[in-house]
Amino acid sequence: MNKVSFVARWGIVFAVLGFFTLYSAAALGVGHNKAYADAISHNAAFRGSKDFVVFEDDGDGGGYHGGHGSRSARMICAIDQNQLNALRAAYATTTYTTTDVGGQPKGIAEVYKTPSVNKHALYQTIGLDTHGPQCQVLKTSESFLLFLLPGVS
Amino acid sequence: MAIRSGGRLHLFFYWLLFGILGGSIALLALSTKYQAVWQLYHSVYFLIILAYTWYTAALLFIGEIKKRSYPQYNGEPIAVIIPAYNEEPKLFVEAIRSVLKAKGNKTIYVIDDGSVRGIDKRKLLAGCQQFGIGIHFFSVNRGKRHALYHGVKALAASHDFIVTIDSDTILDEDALVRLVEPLKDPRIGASTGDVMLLNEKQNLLTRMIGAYYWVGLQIFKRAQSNLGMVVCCSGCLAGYRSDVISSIIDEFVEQRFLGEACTHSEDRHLTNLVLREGYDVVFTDKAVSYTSTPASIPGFLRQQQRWKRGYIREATFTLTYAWKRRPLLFLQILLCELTVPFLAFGLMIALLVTIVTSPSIFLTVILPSWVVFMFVRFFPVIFYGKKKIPGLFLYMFFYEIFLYWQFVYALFTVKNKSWLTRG
Repeated sequence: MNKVSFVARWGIVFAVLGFFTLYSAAALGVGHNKAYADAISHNAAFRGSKDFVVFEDDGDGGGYHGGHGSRSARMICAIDQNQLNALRAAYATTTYTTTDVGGQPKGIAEVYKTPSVNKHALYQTIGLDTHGPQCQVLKTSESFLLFLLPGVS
Repeated sequence: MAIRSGGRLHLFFYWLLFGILGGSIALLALSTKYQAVWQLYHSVYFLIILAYTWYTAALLFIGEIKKRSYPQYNGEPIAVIIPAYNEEPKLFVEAIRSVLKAKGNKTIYVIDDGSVRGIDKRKLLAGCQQFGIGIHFFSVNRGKRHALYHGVKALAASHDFIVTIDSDTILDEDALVRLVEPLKDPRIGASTGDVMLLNEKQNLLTRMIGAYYWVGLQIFKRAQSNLGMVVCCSGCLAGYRSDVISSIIDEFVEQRFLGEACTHSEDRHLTNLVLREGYDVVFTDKAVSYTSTPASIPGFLRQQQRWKRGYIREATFTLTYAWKRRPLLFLQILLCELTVPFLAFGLMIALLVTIVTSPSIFLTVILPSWVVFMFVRFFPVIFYGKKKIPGLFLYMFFYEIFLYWQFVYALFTVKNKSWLTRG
């Protein structure tokens, strides 16, 4: 194999591997975060709200959660100060500030799904209509999940 | 004192596999409640495999730019040991003929391991005497391990190198000399050669197995060889320095695990002992041999079941010495070769559930992403083994459907001594 061919072959091998690694990193981490920020920004543009509650949407029919190909869904709803207070009183929340794509600060109250956090109860607590314009479902389809490889033994 | 097979540390690593399997089930259970656990679970799994892909590619690349060269063979005496048990006569004769034709200053020694059918013993004796081949008959079947032990004890003192081959292995003319050349380097204790299938074109299954052999040898063994740590010198064609094999042969024949004497996967154990003694073990594709593979699915599965039992026993044994002396080998075996298959158990169960409950997600998301990663993982095949791609693709599906589950079964039945395919 001459030198040019050798360099070309291995260049392609490492380029493919490198591209795939970067793509994986983007899809696993950065991609989710960007979609998340975009959704908040998008929601804020309609509502003009500065506070949001974020929680996992377990769907109306429940379904298999956490399986291969699960399309994780988060409900993002604009809330006011009273709703935020009600939320804090009823659930353990993680609150933090983030910025939307326009650089505006947004307060986020995140409620993690546990067996004791029921979506419908949560709606009632803060008086939200999830089908209303103040809520948006952010769905992120996990584009690669399972890479089981043949072992050679 | 050297750590022995079946010792406490060996058992610790063996039981650790149950821990990984249990952890995998626990992670799956938690994943049904917490999305974050699921993301962590499959991300960690994915990252280990991605890292292994980089590691393998890097080793292959290093091997290409820094090719090892070995001293030339100079007529040193080679002992070729051929254990045989109930071997099919035509293939056996062909195997012996190929060794006779092979270059090198060789002594051939056949050990019949108490065969009850196959080649006629009188004819075998007459043929061996005619061609100056040494032969020894065990009165009863004692196992391949004992046959090798007998051969090494008989010949090691008078030969520089010991080569072991299976009784259905056909050698290339240059195979012996190419195999022993690396052994002239005092750092190298054992070497193994390329294995091709005589019946690769017999049917779809054998084509698939041919691709599996090719990947195992040309990607994984070649990569391991660049660090001098090939973990298995295949029984088809393996070479050892006489002084090295002599120093471990007593321990080899007495190997026990979980209170039982070990019968199969002797090739991997012998390699393990050589590595443990601090010698390098290398692969050379210049030494070529040919062998047959089972041509039916049940036959292949039986062979694979035996290999997987041996794989678990020997890979856990490798960990006992590698953590001190060969940290890269330790990480490779622990993370990529043992953790991955058992950590995958929960993922495989989740996959089955997804296939049943959401076949559309399986077809539109999982399957394409799996194929893409397979393509990335084995990308060098495009340059070095184009013809193997269809077989490799088939093998991947076959692995997921049949072979993967054998790993889990093998963990629970590792004590089983049945050879399953022999005679």
